[in-house]
Amino acid sequence: MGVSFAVGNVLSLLPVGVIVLAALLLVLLDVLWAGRANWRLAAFGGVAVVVAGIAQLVYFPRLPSQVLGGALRFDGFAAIVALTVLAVLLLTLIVSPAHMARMGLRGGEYYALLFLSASGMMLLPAARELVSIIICIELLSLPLYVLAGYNRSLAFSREAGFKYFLLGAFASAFMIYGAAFIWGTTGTLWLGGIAESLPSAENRALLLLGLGLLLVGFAFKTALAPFHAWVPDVYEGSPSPVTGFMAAGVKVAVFAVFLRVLMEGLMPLAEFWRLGMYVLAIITMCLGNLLALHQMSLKRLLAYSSITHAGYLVLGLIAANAEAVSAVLFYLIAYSAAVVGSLALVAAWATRRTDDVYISDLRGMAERQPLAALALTFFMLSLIGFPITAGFIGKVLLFYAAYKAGYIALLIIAIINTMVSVYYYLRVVQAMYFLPREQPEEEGAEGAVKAAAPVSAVAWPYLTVALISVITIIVLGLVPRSLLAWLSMCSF
Amino acid sequence: MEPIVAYSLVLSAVLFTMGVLAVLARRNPIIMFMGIELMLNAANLAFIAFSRHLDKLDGQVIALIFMAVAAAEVAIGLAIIVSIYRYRRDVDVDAVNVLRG
Repeated sequence: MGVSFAVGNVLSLLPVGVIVLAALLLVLLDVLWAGRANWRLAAFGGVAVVVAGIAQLVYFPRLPSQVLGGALRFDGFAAIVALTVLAVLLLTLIVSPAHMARMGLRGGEYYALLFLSASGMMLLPAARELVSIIICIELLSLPLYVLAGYNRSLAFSREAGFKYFLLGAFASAFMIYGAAFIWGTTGTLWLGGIAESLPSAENRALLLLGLGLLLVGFAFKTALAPFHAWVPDVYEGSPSPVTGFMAAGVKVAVFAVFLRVLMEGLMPLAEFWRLGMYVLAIITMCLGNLLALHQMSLKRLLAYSSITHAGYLVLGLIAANAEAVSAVLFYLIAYSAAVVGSLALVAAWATRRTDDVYISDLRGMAERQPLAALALTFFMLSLIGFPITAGFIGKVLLFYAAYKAGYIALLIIAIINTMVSVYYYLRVVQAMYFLPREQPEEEGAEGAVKAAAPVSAVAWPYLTVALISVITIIVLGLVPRSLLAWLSMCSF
Repeated sequence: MEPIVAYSLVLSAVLFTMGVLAVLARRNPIIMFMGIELMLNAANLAFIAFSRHLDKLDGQVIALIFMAVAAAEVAIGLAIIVSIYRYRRDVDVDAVNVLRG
């Protein structure tokens, strides 16, 4: 391959290094602080995340720096994804101890697994070679399989862990098999090398087979229909903070690397993958929306909405132009803020028996908890893409990138889907503001479930996370330039 | 392409398809899990066959790396399956009766 194995600028590995070290220390501290150390572990983790964030800002790679012979290349794009992941991790850490205590779970390896998964997410956008990419995806997925099934006393959670594991491993096998064919026909796994040798590849059929298998693997990981069936079950069953972490973090990291693989490695085959992604985008947007329309559970609703948002993001992948890079990143950051905030509130209102909130539970929430209800309204508006929220700017940027690449028909479908999605997001808001709280005497025998509706005040950790997310959404919605100036630095 | 490479690729395709069918069609977690292992090993076989075809050793090294990845997956997967099974056996009395026949 002729790549001299230079270690390169090790300092760019510092933020990831801090996170990995913190994961190892958390395992140790869990033993030392045996027992109820939830809060202390989370606080230690929070300090580590802040240190890693500062390291990431201090060593912000203005010029790309290569590590490990070029298998990892840290640039502005990777740094912004890493900072987003760190922010999501910090918000998850704030919510977790309170939620774990309410669900009667021990801390233990929970925090270490979160950190290991985050380290995979931070490395993923820097990876420049298919083996490294697949290993980083495994690094972020394996801890999440365990975390999804962490609440072992709930049948939902056990099932979520198992389903996530099975379909995640299934997807990885597709990716590895696809990588084998791409390697066999081009003789290299480096994204740059693949792009160079694609035009002269001798065996077109095997190459396209490899491309197809790789795309199927990525479609599973990013939850594109028809490979989305695991998402609602996994999102519903996982502990709520974990759902937030995985909805935001996995989407950010995997979409970032997907964009990079397509734009840097597979551009010569664009006519083929654009066709495939075009079909996937339409199916994903329409199916996600249709299935979300009648969901009663807020977590399932958010799961289907995450499928729909993945469909919108594919617009950026298809466009694959300079605008698309910053648009996809902006959209992912806006989406992360909304989804982490909503799931913090779900965690706050969840009952111990289901770890979920039903829309009927939200009735009259505006009177009982006005602040939290207002926050959830903002999240829903941002997910719709309502003006003055970050979701609006994200959609405008993304749709503009698709428009500029000339995908008008796809754009029209996306806009129609956005309008359809207003219905189910506003159903949540309507339940909170306009429907009266149910009277216990109206309920029959099956009302026992609803009688257990959460009434407790929202504790400060949940509210803090919700407020941070709301502020992010409004700031990005009103002054998007603050982030866009950064994002303009990260064209590849 | 040498015949041995072509045969190996056909074999790997057959193994991969069998793995996919096992995951999609069977309902026993262990069998589904075996299907995934079959898929991963089919990919490794393809890497090794291409290694011969391209006359590069990289493919064999990559196969070794993915064996390690598969081992990590086995560790996690079996742990999850065992934890589910343990719960079932404790909680679901009907399942225990069924097993007794």
